Amino acid sequence: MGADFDRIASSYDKWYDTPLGKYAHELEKELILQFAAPKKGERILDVGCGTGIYAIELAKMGLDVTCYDRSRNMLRVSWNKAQERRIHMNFVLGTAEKLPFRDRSFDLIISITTLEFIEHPALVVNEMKRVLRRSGRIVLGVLNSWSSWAIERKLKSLVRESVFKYARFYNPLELTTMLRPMKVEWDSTLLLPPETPEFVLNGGKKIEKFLVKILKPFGAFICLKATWRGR
Amino acid sequence: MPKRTISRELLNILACPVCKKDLKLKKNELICTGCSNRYPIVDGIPYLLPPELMPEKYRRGKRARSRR
Repeated sequence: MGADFDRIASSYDKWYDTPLGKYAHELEKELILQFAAPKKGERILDVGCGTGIYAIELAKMGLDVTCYDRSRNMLRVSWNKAQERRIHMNFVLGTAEKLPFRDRSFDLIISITTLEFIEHPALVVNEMKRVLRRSGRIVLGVLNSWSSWAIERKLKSLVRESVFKYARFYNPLELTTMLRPMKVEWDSTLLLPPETPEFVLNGGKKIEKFLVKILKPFGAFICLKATWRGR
Repeated sequence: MPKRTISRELLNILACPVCKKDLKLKKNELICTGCSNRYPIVDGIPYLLPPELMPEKYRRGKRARSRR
C-alpha cells in the first residue's frame, strides 16, 4: 500500500504555514522557477500537482497549465483554489506511469515531490520524455536521500503516521541516470537541518547560499532540469 | 459548481493512457479510437486511469451495464 493522498488532501497545505515549511517552500520555489524559466503562453504539465501550489503560481504567470494527479481529493483542492482565484487550468486524473497525453504536447513538465511516492519512477520519466516537445524541458524537484532531512523524515514516520513512511528518496546521481540521454543540470537547497531554530532561519537564505557552494550534493531538496541535447 | 465537460484545447492533447491513441468525446465519456476503452468525466475532470486501476463504480464493462 502507498501513501493515501486522498485522506490527507484537506490538511496537506498546513505544512506551508509552519515557519520551517514556509522557509523550505520559499527556497524550493526559487530554485524551481530558476530552472523552469516559465514563459507566458507555454503549455505545461504538472505531474503530481497535489494541492496546486506550483500550478497556480505558473497559471498566474500566464502559462497554460494542466494539473495531473492520481488523487481525486488533491485535484479537488487545487480545483477549488483555481475557482476562488478565477484562474483557468485543466485538470486530469491519472497515474504517472501512464500519462494520457499525446506525444510532444508540452513545453515544460514539472514534477515536485512526486517521484518519491511512485512505484516505477523510470516508467514515469520515460513517459515525461514522450510527452515533452523536443525544445521542452523537464524540471524535477525531489527530496535528497543524501540529506539530514531525509533521515529525520524517515525516523519520524516510524513513530508517527506520515506519507514519508511510503516515500523513497533519491540522490542526484540516480536521478541524472534516470533522465539519460537528456542533458541534465541540477542544484540543491536546504542545507540547514530541520531542527534549525527559527531565529537562524530568518537569516537562513544567506547561509544557504554559502553552504550550497561547498555542500551541493547534500541539500535536502534537489532540483534537476533536463533538456534534449543539441537544443 | 464545476462545469461538466472538458475544453476542446484539452481534448486535443489527451490520449488513451493504455494505447496512446486519440480519444473522442461522447456525452460525458471519453472513448479511445484505438482500444475502445472508455473513461468517465467526473465533475469536469477526466479520469484517465487504465481499466485495472479505475474505481469499480466508474468501470464501464458488461457487468456495470447489466446492473442498471
